[in-house]
Amino acid sequence: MMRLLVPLGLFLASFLAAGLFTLNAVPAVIMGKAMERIEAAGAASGGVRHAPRLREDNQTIVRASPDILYSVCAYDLSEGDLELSIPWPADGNYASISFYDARTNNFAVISDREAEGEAMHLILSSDPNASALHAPTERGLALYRRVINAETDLEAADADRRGFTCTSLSDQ
Amino acid sequence: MIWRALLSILLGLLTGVAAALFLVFGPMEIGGIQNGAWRTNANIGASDAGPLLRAVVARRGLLALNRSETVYFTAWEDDQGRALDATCRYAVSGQDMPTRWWSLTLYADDDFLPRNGDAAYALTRTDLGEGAWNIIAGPERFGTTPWLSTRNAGAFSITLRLYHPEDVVREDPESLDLPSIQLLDCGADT
Repeated sequence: MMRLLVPLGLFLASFLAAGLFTLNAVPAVIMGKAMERIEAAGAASGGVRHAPRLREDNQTIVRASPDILYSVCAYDLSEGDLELSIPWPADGNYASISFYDARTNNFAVISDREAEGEAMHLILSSDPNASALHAPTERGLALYRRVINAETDLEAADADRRGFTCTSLSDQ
Repeated sequence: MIWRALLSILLGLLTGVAAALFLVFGPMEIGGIQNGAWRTNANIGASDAGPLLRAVVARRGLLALNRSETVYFTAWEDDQGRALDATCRYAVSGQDMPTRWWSLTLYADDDFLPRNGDAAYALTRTDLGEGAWNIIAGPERFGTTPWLSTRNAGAFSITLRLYHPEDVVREDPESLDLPSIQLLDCGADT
């Protein structure tokens, strides 16, 4: 009996351990690849990539929305805190800034509704004791979304979101 | 004995990795709650999502917002439970929804917008108005009816995004009157 139970137990234990390890590793791997692409594209624009409106011929992220303009900043807080300037639409359309850690967790969101129309400046830090928004991992993404409410709104939406900036305080 | 133990561990590791990859990259969908043809999962974007959902969302919906901000419903099937098919024509009809703004986006079976040159992959509240509406999802435009093109989309899906949803969307998604998806015909343009 033991000749069967011991190998079976070892098989099940290693099966579960390997499965769980893989499931936990997949988001970090996918996020890492996305961050590499964004860092490469954003290097020439001060760290922020103002992505063009999504079309069928310029897609890099699955299930993105063609009715949103995206601006994204890949950060690495090991080099210092990050200062963000976040503009909000003057015409009442939806906009938000969302923060993702290195494992894809959406750990914070601020939208125009909470901001009540005022442009916002905030500091992102990996130090839990700092008086700043706390990031659970040093690397991650800050993603600005701005709804395009109609074709006629595209220029205004594009002008709005170009006020979004990310600056590493280690650069200052 | 030791060789048998090592072999058991090796087999366990290999099949464990293979099973996890199949769950994430196979046909598994995100859905947890069903309402008609639509599925949603309250834990999308949440920090307390389990490892499987987190991995599936990373693959199929990277950078999703949490549900306080946006609730995502996705339909992979019509109202009768048949898989959506790019060669078929569907009548999609609905009405305004309890949210600040909403949009419908059609994705091909690779989770990207269909590459077909039609530029007819999304419609929003701005396009459809705040009353009852009807659209066609199919391989060809149908008169002046608002259209989502399914050409080259394979076993496609439609995602409904509700931005800044009212409480009822988060608390009782099964009670919502979501759009219906009715098959009209198939094979008219294959």
